[in-house]
Amino acid sequence: MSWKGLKKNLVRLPAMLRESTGRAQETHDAEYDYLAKRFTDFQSSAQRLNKDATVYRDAIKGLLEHEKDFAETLSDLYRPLTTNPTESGQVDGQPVGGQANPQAMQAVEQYVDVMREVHRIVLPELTALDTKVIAPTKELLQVIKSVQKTMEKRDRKRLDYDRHNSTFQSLSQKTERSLNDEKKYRQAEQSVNEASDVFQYINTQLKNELPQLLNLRIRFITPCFRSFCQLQGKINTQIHTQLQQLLTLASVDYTHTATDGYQMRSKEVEEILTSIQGIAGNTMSLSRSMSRPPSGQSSQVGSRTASRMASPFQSSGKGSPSVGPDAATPLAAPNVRGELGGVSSPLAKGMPALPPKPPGASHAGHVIALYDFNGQSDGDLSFRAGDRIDIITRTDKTDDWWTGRVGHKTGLFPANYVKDDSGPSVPAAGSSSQGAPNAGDASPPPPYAAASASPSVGSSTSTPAVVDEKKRAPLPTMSSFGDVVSAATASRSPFHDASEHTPHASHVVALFDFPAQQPGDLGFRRGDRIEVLNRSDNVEDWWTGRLNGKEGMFPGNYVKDA
Amino acid sequence: MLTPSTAIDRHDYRAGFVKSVNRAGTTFMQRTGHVDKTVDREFADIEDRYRMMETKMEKLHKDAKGYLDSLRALSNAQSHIAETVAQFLEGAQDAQLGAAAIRYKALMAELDQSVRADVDEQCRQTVLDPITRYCALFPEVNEAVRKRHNKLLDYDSARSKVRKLAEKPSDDQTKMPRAEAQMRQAQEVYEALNTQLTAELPKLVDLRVPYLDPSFEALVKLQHRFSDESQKRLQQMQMPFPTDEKAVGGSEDYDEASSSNELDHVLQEMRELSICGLS
Repeated sequence: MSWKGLKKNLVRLPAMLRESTGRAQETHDAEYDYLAKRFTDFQSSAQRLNKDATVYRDAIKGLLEHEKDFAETLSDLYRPLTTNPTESGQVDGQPVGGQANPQAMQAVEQYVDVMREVHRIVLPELTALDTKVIAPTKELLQVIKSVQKTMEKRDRKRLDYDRHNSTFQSLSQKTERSLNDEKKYRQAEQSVNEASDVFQYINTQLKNELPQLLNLRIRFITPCFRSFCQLQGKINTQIHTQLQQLLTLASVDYTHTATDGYQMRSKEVEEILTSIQGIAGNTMSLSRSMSRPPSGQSSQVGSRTASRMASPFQSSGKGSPSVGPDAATPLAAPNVRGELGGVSSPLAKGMPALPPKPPGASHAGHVIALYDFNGQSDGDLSFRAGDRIDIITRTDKTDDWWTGRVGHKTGLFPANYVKDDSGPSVPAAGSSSQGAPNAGDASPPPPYAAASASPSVGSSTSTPAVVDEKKRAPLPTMSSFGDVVSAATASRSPFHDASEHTPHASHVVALFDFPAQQPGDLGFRRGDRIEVLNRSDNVEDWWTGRLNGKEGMFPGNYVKDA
Repeated sequence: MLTPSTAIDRHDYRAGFVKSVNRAGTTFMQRTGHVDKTVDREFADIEDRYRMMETKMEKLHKDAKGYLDSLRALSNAQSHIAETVAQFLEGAQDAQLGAAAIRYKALMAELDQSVRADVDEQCRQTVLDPITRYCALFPEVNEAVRKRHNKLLDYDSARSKVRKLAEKPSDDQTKMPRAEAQMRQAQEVYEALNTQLTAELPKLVDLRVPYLDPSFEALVKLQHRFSDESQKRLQQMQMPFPTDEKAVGGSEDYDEASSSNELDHVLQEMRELSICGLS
């Protein structure tokens, strides 16, 4: 800013402040204000037009690029995957890395050609969009900006006029003027007249020309509109013409909409997904159970949930891990009150647990429910006896919690409630983990029967129980895509029947501060009174309670009975 | 009293740390030739193919997402432009032009609506989501592959210990049986994981095509549908347009030339206004 401009700004400052605080009069020109408003509308329309035209151009470009890249990547995926590009993809006449059938391969090749062609033909048209729509709107914006500058100047001149006018007014209101006052009065009068002239000039100029500019906008937009429409039509026609070739693709059935067509094939897809989820889940569960050396060293992949479940006994200094059975035994039969279904222990209520499966048992994709199972927590999968359950993840052990799907619902369920479906199994999962030695099967079934018989439920020597419980804990992670099984739910003890034998105080008092460490925890301060919702006999367990309207889990050894 | 979780976390952390230091040592010894390295060509091939598939799948996912985003942006921009044009032409003298703008606006809004309701939503359901779900499996598989690699290192290291003891028997008689037991343990752990991965990774790779094919079919249909819908509406638009009384001949070339001339002319007139401050 020039020196002169700076000086002017300084002089105007007090007047501006007075005006903005409402202590000075502001000259209003209704006609001008109306024009200024229309101008602002015009300005924002022009900005939007420029922006949207740019977005349109970039979107078309993005669309074409992504279509082409998608097609190319897809065809790469359809071809056999070989690490060596010169290799024909055949090893001893057998394709390696899987390959699409010839018809699908042909379809995808044709698709790639079409997409490349569309990309090649249409992309140059975007230059026309640039020159005919985007560039002119940009120039328009420049014109608008310079007009805006003139309008800002007009506002400054108006301020000058108001300023001088108010000085003049106050002087002219004085009834008695000294000689000095008289001089000032004359000076002020002159200033007012000058300011008025300047302001009037620029104000009139704007009032005359703004309407002209606003009218020109129609003459501007007409060719723009026409060009845009033409280009839009042309681009679309080109794409449309090219895409007609896709109608000849033999593998595409146009009689159904995309969703319906997909739905018709979705069973296939779901089966594949289930089996590959099984692969990922199995591999992970195996790697997790294997990663625990016999020395009892904690596994580094042990999930946080697993470590937290084990933590209370650690802090209490006990050497042998003993976790309350209601938390530790996923194999507990939920419908048997007070009973804990062991793998090999036939139960009194005639709910026999399945014998452990032989190590090499194949993994069927489906199982049949033997009994009703009513899910007891979020993330459990309820079913009726006889239901067919799609397996998502499973382990080699039937005393575990597996993940499965019935209809649209997925969730965890006790594996000893189901038997393998004798029907056709998913081929891919069929031989999965066959022959893979499983550490879990080698160990004898955990002595849960003892635990169920003894009233002091915590007494079971449960190294295996911890393993089992840890195995349950990772399940949610395995099925993390889609199946909403929160870690908190999984670690929460689903069956608390056992603990109902002995009545407990319904309230406990916190002995220590316990800050919540993960979602689902109930944090409290020392001395807080907590309503117990679910507890076990074992203080080294995680209990559930309510405090200040919040529910959550907390370690039993942090509290004492109230 | 320690908080329950810090005790175990520290324990976990330390064990993990010791393991990774030991493994780094083994890797180094293998490089320098002090410890034999198991070379498994079969698994290397399997892993390579899996990696290729993983890379391509992720790329496919990126493009599917990009396609959908562009589609939305495109449809949105079209309807916005139509709105703005109608705004520009508000109160225009040329009634025919104003009517065209209003019709255009309605058509584009309708198109946007149909794209949103049908193409966009269907594309998400049949193309993007399935690919996302497939890609979501990779982290778990990668973790298992990493694990296998570590277990292999453990096995190599244990085996080398046994060999060294055999070459230079120790005074401590219990050392050898212990080392052997450790080696067997490591071998068992490694082989279980290796067998499973060797069997299942190729399946994961092979299933990609049958898995993707329904999405491919859906995408082709959706592209076609989108183009059809646009075409249907733009053709309605082109019938009364352009109807410029001044345009003589009506050939496209003439039209295009005249339209850019007209634009230059208008912009020039605007600049010549004294309020533009440029003159």
